[in-house]
Amino acid sequence: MALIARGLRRTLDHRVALEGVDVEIVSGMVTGLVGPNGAGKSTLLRVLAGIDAPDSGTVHVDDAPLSSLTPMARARRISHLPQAAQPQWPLSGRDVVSLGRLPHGAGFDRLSAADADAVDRAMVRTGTAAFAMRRLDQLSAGERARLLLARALATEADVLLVDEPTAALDPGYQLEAMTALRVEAERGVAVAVALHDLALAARFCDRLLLLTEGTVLRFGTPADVLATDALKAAYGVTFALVAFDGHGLPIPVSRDQ
Amino acid sequence: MKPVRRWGWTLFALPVAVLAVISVVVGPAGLPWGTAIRDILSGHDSVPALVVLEIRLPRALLGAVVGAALGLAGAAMQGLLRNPLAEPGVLGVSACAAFGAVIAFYTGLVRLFPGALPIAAIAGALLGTAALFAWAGRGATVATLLLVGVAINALAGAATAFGLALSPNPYAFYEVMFWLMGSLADRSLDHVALALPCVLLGAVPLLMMRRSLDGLSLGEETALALGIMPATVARWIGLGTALTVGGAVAVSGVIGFVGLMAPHAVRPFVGYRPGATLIASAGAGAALTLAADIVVRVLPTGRELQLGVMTALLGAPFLGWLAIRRRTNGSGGTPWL
Repeated sequence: MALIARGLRRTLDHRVALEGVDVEIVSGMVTGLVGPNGAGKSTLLRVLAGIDAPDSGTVHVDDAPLSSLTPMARARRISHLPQAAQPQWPLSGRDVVSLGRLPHGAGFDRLSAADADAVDRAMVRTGTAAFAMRRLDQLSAGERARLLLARALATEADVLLVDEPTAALDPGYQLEAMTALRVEAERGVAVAVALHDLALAARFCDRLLLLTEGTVLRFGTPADVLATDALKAAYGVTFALVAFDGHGLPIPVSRDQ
Repeated sequence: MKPVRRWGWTLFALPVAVLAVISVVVGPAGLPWGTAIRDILSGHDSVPALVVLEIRLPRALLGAVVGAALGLAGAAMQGLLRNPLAEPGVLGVSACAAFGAVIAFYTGLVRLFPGALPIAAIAGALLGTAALFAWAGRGATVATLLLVGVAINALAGAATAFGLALSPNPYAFYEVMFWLMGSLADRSLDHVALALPCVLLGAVPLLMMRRSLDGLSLGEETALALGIMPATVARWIGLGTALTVGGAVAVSGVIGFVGLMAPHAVRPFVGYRPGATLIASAGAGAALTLAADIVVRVLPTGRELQLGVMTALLGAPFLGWLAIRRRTNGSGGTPWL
């Protein structure tokens, strides 16, 4: 099980957002997408998820071109959690997570036993079971973010693409969210996650893709990618690497002039 | 509040049935009900029987059909646009339908065949929804949407006024003016026969989009991720709205604000689910319209108040209340207010 992209090119408003991007999101691994703001991480995730079409290049899920799948079939195989989900109605927590079963043909009133089990599992894994009957507008930003992650898990797709899941979370829940993604990978899911926090990327990802200005600067193990020279080239920032538990965690030191 | 299940629909159907009965009973002329019912059952065309069958009954039926159409269309638009202020009347779709109907009056199309009236109204409503979605876009903010609605309302109103100004006959002018204000008075079963098929036909695509509207609850990005194509949903809802609103406006004129108030009234009872809001809002719209139409008949105003005036008297303060809630909430980010 893998999501394989070759030669992706995407322009948005005449600006090149992706150029010549090759990447594989492989079953059993967490692949981190890192890079500065505007590097193309979110665009890449949207193209990989099949909700945005590349100008050229291909995305295959196993041997099937993504474009050959119907939207619903694509949504069953690839679960995508966008960064800017905007809850519009104060649905109950359980209803929000149940939306993840929609690609399987489940409506709010028509959850099969299998659908209900998947929803329960997703809520347990994200520690959101307590919010099942709470209204979305009565939850904190962090609680909402965890429910939205549960929504993406509830689909139980082969591929999970997550855009900045830790942005609204405090350190404890950041660790919890990243652990949830690791658990998914260990279940055999192919996971990709866009991250700003390079320390989390170093610790929780098996592979990293460093993007800058829409192109791949490096793709490999965290140790290969998170080298000070590559980070300096990508971010224009000097990093120090702090050794911890066998990982080199990048700490930003100074902005280069 | 927990979503209503199983017998929950009676919560919305019961008031409609009760109000429909009251609507048949209430009227300016006191009726000998014993005679009326006996004559209706025996098929005897007495005056009391005719008053019930040809005046009271069509009015009650139209109230339910038109109100349900407006409540359903309002809920569908609010769900699609994820916007609590979306409504056919507020956003000019009804005004466009009225413009279509006025065109049908003045070109004499109506005299060629009776179906021309709803067809012209539906064409106008289609034009209105198309302009709305094209100009505002689906992800529009409340402000953008209302601005576009103001523009469409103004355009349709001006075009209608222009059509009226060309009217050769002052009586026809007054007649259409009053019709435009929205009323269910002096309608017959023929009007029911004109409106009902359009409304039923329009309800089909709207109700088919129930789950898609649920999927849109977290925004268009999430909807896309769930395999829902927002552009397709918008086309079906645009078509369904045009059919329901066009059919309703063709027989009743513009009855505003029903589609605004009905979804808000029912949302807490259906757990704020946009899909489940549709049918509940249709019931609430029917109940609201029937109730308002009863009130205009019992109010001692001399000449009967126009129904559209009555719903505006209720709806405009409601809109203001929504605006205040929004303002004191201090955020445009909580659209359910």
